[in-house]
Amino acid sequence: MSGVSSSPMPSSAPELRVDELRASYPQTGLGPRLEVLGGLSLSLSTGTFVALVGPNGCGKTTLLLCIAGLLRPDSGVIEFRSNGKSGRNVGLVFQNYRESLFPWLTVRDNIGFGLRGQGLSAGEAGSRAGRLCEELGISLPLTRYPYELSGGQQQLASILRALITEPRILLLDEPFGSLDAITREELRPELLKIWRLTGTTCLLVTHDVDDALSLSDRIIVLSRKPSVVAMDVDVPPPVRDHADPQARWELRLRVHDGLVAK
Amino acid sequence: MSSREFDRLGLLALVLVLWTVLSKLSLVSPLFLASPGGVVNAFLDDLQSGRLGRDLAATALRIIAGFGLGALLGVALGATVASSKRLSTAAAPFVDFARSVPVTALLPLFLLMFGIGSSAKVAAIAWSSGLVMMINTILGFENVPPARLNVGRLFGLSRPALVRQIVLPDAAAQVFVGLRTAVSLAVVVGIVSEMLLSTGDGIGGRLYDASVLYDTDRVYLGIILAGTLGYLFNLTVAVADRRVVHWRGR
Repeated sequence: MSGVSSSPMPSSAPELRVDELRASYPQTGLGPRLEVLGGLSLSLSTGTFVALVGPNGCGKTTLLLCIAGLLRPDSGVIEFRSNGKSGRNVGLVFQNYRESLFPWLTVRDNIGFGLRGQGLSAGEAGSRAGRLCEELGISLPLTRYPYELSGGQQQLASILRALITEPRILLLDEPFGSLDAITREELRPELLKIWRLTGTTCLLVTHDVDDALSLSDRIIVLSRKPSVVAMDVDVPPPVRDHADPQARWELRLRVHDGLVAK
Repeated sequence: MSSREFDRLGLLALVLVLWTVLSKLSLVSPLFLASPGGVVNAFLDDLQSGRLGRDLAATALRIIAGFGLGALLGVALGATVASSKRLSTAAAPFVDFARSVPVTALLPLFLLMFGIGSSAKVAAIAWSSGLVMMINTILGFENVPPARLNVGRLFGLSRPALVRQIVLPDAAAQVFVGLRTAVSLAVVVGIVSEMLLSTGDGIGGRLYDASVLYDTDRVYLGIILAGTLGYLFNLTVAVADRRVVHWRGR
């Protein structure tokens, strides 16, 4: 059974529930389909920031694409908490901002893009984009084109673009993967600020355990493919905020062990 | 005047001086090497008689008509073929064959179909630039980054909206690559078809006639005019490309 259910769940229900999700890709030649997700289950509470780490090719991106509705799983359930609106209200940020931003649109029009699809005029969408930046305290050169911005600014613009339709869940697919270490460090607090101000439930896919520890309040480690949840740990605030280096170090080791475990 | 322009004018002056010296020394037979003065005289004569203007206009109009027609048909056909994976796979070998046929081999056919007038020449230009445009349009449509399309799908864009708001602007970059190639080709085919299907007008026809008449001055004049025309066409498309596809290479 596969599909999206938007049947009303009780208010204590999670923002997103994924149950026994299986997904596979056809392989070149006549071999069997490559199983990527092997009956994966997880749920996200409203307003949490969850990091998803796992070995290369374990299906992290596949999971995000399934949740976003861009890929059809073989079986399983993806259920969203009903928010009165129909359909899924999910934002997605890609690793490759150069490919996902529209170079023919200004930064303002890029951020407002999602509203054009809802029938807003270019002017209205643009002013909403400007307002979102103000509300979140992010200053970007809105009249410039994406290629005139630094990598970090471009990725911020694509995060704002994903947020313009006020999604309940923000999916981040290695958003810092194409950025240098210094820019990463600069963007982390910006992302945390956005999360706190919008209250959006965030699901961050990352390779970087440090990113996971610094941003999330929960880390889910996936196994090798066909992947399932191998480990699910909470990140206490003192660990996230570097207030308890000892605990941070221990948690880092635990996650690392979870990653390399068979 | 910037130093770059100064350098360029200097280089032009140097070439003209060398050309004058070389022709004055009579080291090369005047049959092969016209004198700058002779070319200038031919230019002024033809300008006064109105021939030069007529020739330039005839050639330019054929190129514009053929290139315009080819670009329109090529983009439309390319977009249609690219809209279906099955169609584009099926069409690929035919497109490859069509572009392997030298357009000069088609001139006799166009002559049969359209006669000696402008139509055959326009058809040849349209054929060659149309193929280039079709190939580049298919490439542009098929190579839209998946992430960009997913952004549109995620925001719930309908298929027509996806094409209009994402595929078309994204493919524009490759379409303009096609335009730059096609316009150079249009000039070449324009001049060649005027030579082979000569009606005595147009720069290509005049160039050919001048050669038959051993009028070396007008051969040189024709070469310079053809080059100037080609340069201006290329420049126009290049400027349009930089303005429209402002993100190219950035």
